[in-house]
Amino acid sequence: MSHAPRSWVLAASERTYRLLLFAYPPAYRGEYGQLMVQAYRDLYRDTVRRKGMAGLAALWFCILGDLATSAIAQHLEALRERAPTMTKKEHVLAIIAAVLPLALWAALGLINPRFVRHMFVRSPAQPWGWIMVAGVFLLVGLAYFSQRKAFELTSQSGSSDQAPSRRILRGTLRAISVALFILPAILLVLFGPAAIMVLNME
Amino acid sequence: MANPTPSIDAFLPLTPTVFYILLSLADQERHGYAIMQEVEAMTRGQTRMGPGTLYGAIKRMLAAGLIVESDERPDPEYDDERRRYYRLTTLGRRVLSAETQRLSHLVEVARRKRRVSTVEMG
Repeated sequence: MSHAPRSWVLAASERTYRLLLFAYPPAYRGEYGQLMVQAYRDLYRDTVRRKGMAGLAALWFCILGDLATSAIAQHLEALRERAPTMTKKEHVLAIIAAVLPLALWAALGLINPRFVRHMFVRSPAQPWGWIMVAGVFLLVGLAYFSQRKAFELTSQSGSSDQAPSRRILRGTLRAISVALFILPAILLVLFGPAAIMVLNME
Repeated sequence: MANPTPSIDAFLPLTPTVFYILLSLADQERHGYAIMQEVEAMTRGQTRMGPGTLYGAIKRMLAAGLIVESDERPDPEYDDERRRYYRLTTLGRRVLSAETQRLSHLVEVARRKRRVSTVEMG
């Protein structure tokens, strides 16, 4: 059996590896992508020389494990690096968006105390009010977190935050965050008290 | 330099990856793949570092000032323009030395304990 590297296998696997590098943050890929491909090429040649084509399965097993763990680590690092780039105005906007359901709740409670009264029934047999309070706060927390992540994921130090594609992506992420967390929190504030009243009467 | 030199102890204990990379650069500067090969040889094939782990660690070590990119090419005959070579900084060498001492002490403690347990069993 010949152990000579088969060039088409190398070319195909290198292309696959290049595609997999898209799992890394763009900045990291720009800085180290080419070097990683070069290291992969060396690894491939070395593996084929030492173990033949059969060694490629083990190589790819290692490569995929390495890629999964290091890509996650790089994304976490990139998020940490980007966090300080969020401006005060962006922070305030994220907080306002997140606390909107709480503000609405407070306003409704002032207009009609029923919106709040049923939340705080102190009975283990009627826990629905407390569950709803916890649900609203959980959604508010998730809303703030996701709004912040939407800013962070679409921020890139050293580049213009006003690029149209960046603004569209940021807008889409924020819309998803609103649909997933803020809207359900508002619905819970609006219709939760009535539902709890019914549940507590049962 | 504006930044004060960080304390050596702040780096300890090192992760195995960082320790292996520092150790592989202790005798000469190397490029990425040469580091991977040296680590594999040093650990008798027990540790095979992937490109992602290697360059992730290199990125952090460059930022921490433990290593630097080198302009010199130790092997001009086999040199590839695209390769980047890395070498230890003075800080990196001190950190490596401190970690080696820390590990040596632990090995000594382990030997002593084994000797004690062997005596107790005997």
